[in-house]
Amino acid sequence: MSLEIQPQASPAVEPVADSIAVEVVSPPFRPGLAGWVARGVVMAAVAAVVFLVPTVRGNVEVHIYTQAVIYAIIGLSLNVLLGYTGQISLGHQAFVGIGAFTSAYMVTVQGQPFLAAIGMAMVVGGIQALVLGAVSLRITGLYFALVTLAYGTMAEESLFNIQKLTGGSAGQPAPKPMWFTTDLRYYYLCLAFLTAVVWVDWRLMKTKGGRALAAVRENPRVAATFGTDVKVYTLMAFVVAGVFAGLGGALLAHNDTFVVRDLFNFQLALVFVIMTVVGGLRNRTGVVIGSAFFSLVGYFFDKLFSGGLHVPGIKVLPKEYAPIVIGPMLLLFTLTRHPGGMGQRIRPIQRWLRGGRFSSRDTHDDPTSSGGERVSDVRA
Amino acid sequence: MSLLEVEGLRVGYGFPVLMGISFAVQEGETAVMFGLNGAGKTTTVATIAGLLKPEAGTIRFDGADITKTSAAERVALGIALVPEGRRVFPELSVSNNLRLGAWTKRRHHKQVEESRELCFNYFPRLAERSEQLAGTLSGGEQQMLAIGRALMSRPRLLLVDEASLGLSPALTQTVFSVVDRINDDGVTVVLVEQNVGVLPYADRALIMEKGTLVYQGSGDEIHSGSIRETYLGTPA
Repeated sequence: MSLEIQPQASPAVEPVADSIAVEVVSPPFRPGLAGWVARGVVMAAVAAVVFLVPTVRGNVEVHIYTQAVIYAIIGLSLNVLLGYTGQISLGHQAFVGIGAFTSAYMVTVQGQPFLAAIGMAMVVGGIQALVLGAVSLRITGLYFALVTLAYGTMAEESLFNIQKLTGGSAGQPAPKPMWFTTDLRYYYLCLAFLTAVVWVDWRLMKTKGGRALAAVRENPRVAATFGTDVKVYTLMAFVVAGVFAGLGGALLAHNDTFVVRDLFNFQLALVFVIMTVVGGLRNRTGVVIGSAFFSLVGYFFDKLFSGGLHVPGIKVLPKEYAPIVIGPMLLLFTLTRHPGGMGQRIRPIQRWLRGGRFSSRDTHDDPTSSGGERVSDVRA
Repeated sequence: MSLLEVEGLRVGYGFPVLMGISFAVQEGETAVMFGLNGAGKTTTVATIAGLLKPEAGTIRFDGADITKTSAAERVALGIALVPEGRRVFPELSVSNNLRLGAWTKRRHHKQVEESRELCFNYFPRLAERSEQLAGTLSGGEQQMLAIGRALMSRPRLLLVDEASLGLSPALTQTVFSVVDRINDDGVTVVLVEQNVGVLPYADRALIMEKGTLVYQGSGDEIHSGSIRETYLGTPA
């Protein structure tokens, strides 16, 4: 019998630090005055686009922009599940739909103020996530995805058909709140909610619970070795995702001023998954951009190709053929930008804006990020 | 007095892996477990750490039966595992990896801080790189971090699974020497190894083959005697 033997060196003790080959730690990079001014200009330009552009656009477009902001909230919700716990939800439309119907019911039927309705939508969103998570967390990966798919279908076919709560096929009115009855004001309100969600998400990942979640995602077995309760923290992520989704649904209902069950179908669940993954798991900015992109793409492509699709050197294709070109483009983007999605592309810009170098290499803990550059793993 | 007593331990994954092994490790000892791949070494330490449930047998720690306790309870009792392949959390900083190691003591900030200092004392390089992402450390540094992370729970028994895996001979000796220092400071150590370079540090040697213990003896015995050639295939 023989074992793999490595050459036996002397057991003499070497100083630990000296015997490890490492690169020299250089002092952190700090930009000069011009660098900071350049960063300020870029940030001001981004802020101008977000805050000022809607003021010069028509109501229809502002309504679409608001939807993009709400999709960003939903994307962040799904990011908690997909990005932080690695679990695929194919029934997220149910979480969002229940939030939408709850808020509409509270305002229209119960006569409650907007904030109470939003609060109730978040609570209901959290409770449904807690219940679904508690009964299904013993399974992971594809099997968990199937459970969420079944939950989404159940909501579509059953919950959303309860006449008293949802108005059935007629739907439920969901008026905009007082002071925010114009599309532009409601857009700013939704922006405020998005900011709050980003902040909560950021804080969450900076807490002990956030670290535990990161450990559970990366290796549940090793996390358990240190006494981390894998189930409790995964369930916590579920509840947070449910609360965010409830909020997103409620805001969506009041943006449309009407909520109908047909909107919350399986196709929407797929859009939510795609926008989050293409945005870049565990990268908040990437998820926000990805979600906004998928929310806006339909409207702007419709506008862009209203006169048909001009293919250079060939001919004008009718508008209906646009998806044949656009679909593969998106597919190509997803494949070539795997695994980090849009988030990975914008990381150097983010790093630069925070005062670092324009570099795609992540070597240090990033205080403003959940560090979502390298992996887009889901458990399957 | 025995700190760890394993008796008739049987573990399987649908098929038998450990066939009822028994051994004991005295407080303050360094025990080294040798064996070929598939001998059941990792299964043994994973079961002691509470990650696998045994089909039969008992595990006693400091005289108490811990066979049915959870991994978290065992960490709280003072058992820590350094898993095979290091398994640091690559997307977390060195500092956050260490904090996770002290998870069971997370509400005792002073203790966590003291453990961190102790860990940096063993591995000064980790202090320099405390904000660096663990995934960007070298293999040796990651091994240091894995051991440091386990030390954060202030264990009485440290289980180290294949510390030398993928490390250069010089670095392997460095890791062994640090583990020896940790042992000198009062922590009982069980090392799972395939590298005989660890023998000079072993107080007790356990040799496993196909789920059974084929030899137990003192480190000196195996280091210098014919047993080394018989079981490990290498002359002293």
